Amino acid sequence: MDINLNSKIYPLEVILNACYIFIDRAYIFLDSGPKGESTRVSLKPKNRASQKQLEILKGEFTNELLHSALRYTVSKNNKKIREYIIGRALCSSLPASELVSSGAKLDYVEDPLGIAIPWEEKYGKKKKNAQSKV
Amino acid sequence: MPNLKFNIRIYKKEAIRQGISAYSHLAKFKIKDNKGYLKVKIEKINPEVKDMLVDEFSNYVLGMTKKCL
Repeated sequence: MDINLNSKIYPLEVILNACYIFIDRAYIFLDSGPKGESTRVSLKPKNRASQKQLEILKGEFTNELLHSALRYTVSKNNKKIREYIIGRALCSSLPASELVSSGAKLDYVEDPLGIAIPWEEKYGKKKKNAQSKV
Repeated sequence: MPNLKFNIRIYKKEAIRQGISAYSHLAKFKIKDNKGYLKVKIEKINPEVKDMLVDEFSNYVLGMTKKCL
């Protein structure tokens, strides 16, 4: 039993996913059209099957194709957000010491910006000078 | 002697090679490139599995191709 599928509607990844699910029930062989515009799926049931059972198998396969196509679209659309969520999860699981850039060795004793210097020490003299001028 | 023509747009060469190595104890395989297809000639098939080997082999290659994606 052969099924011809339009490659624009069903990309190869979708077809392979659906085929993989049916691999235990049928022998499957794939071929494509001369320009790759279509994919031909040959289904051969592993056990003897009547015409009605073949039709059922075909129906189930086409349903699985639709299911696979939907999953493919959803996964494609959500790729960025999925990557972001995983990135955040991995980041939050790291210990705080590893979150600081690995190259720079930071020490709390060093104070390159002069944050720890009291205000009086920093601006006290200037204030006195200013008072003496007045 | 059965022949299988695997379309290289669909089937991965690596998957076919893996299939051959997995089934090599049951038959003798020969591969040939042929205008967009990889032709696999199967000879000296073990008589116990003669009826199903070709179909099982093509299913195996399909499964491996899916895993290669």
